[in-house]
Amino acid sequence: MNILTPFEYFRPTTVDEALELLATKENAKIIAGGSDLMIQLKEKMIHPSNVIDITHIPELQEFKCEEGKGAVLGACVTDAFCEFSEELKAKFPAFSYAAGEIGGPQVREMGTIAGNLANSGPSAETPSSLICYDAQLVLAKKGSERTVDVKDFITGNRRNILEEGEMIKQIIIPEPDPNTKVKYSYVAMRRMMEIDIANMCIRVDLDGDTIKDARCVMGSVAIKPLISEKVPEVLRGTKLGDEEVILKAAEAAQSEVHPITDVRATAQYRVDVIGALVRRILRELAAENK
Amino acid sequence: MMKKQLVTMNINGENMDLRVAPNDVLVEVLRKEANLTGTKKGCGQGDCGACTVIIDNKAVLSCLTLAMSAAGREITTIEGIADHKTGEMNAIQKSFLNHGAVQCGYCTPGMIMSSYNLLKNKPNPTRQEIRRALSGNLCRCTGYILILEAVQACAAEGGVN
Ligand SMILES: Cc1cc2nc3c(=O)[nH]c(=O)nc-3n(C[C@H](O)[C@H](O)[C@H](O)COP(=O)(O)OP(=O)(O)OC[C@H]3O[C@@H](n4cnc5c(N)ncnc54)[C@H](O)[C@@H]3O)c2cc1C
Ligand code: FES
Ligand code: FES
Repeated sequence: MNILTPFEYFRPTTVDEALELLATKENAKIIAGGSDLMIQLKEKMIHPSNVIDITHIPELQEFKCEEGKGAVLGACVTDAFCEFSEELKAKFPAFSYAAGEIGGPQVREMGTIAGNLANSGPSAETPSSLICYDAQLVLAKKGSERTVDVKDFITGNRRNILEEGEMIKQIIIPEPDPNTKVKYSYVAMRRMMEIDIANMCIRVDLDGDTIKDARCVMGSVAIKPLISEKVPEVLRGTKLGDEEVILKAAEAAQSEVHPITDVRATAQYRVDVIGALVRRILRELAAENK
Repeated sequence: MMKKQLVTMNINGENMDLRVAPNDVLVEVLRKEANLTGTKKGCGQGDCGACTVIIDNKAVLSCLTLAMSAAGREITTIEGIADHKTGEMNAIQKSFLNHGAVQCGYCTPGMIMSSYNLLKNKPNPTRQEIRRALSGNLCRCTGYILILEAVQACAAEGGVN
């Protein structure tokens, strides 16, 4: 199990070189931190003929987070970097927190946010908060680039809109409005080194303590991040922290999920957890807004 | 079989020319080609931390690292933290011994590498920070308390060199 099926290994040092390799090498796979890909190689889930290592490309390590200008993360910015970055903690606390809840410390030093998105696992930690922050991805292939919303990127279990030869080059998170508050939470079997039973991120756009608009994204309850339609409807125009509204929002979210039973939890337990997460997050947001 | 090629790897401050195939995993190359068997392989899946080494100042898992990817970077293994000239153990190694933080010893190299890297980058961690830094290293013997005490004591007594 630990001997990998043979492949050719390439180590480009510029994005152009990487895109050229992706365009010309057949059956190629990108490796960044390898924390998902190496497992898939070991388990013989995939059999690439060519592996393209993008971690030696300086441009992809770049990180910008300037006053009033959101943040731009190169594809090789690691989970650990996002966990510890003071700028990200201050501007995008829910995202920084989510990045710090991936695996264990060594996995976070290796793993990248772009890898977390591109792997597109249903229980992935970072998509829900990135969607709440309106994050976008710059996707590049030889000769062209396009920008897409993270919310449109993942299409199913380990499926996304990346085309043949295309890679994530950057993650762009726009500057948040000071009246927007975002919070991420999850439930898992234990505190560290787990796969979530369910996770959730809620965003509220406030005017004082009135919720003007809201968003709720749930992870690990469907084949891709589930964006709630009903929770924003319940929350719009209400006062943040109104217990009656909180209970209604929890029920609304529960009515939208149809999770599966697996080794980590039964479907019913996942539904219970979704209710608990809505209540927990809204109460915490209210407490922090006092 | 993929052809092996000679690759220069910087391990514990020394350049070593090792026979490496593109699909070789770092932990195997360290143990079998460099004969550095201090680094252990437990799960091979990223879950246990036994294979922890330091690459460019970061504690990472050698079971999930392609050897080729580590070429050109500075790799430190458990063999590399003792005094190069005298062979005297590093302060964190002594502290593990003094506190009885070692039982079967299988997790120990990984535990020590994670602890060493923490203390290098953060000389005075809180107990909570130590727990978090070691949360990717599993130990089936000690119950962790003695390990936490060993790291805390090492920090209090002047840290790692
Ligand atoms: C023990 C362990 C625990 C874990 N726990 C969690 C957890 O709690 N939560 C969680 O969400 N994840 C977890 N993971 C998964 C993983 O660590 C993260 O998803 C990580 O962020 C992936 O990044 P990577 O750079 O290692 O990806 P890689 O493994 O290098 O790549 C993953 C996939 O993305 C593709 N890819 C990578 N970069 C790009 C790019 N720039 N453009 C296009 N495609 C790309 C690769 O081809 C591959 O298909 C865990 C993994 C391990 C080993
Ligand atoms: S052997 Fe690498 S984490 Fe277990
Ligand atoms: S001492 Fe035996 S596993 Fe830790």
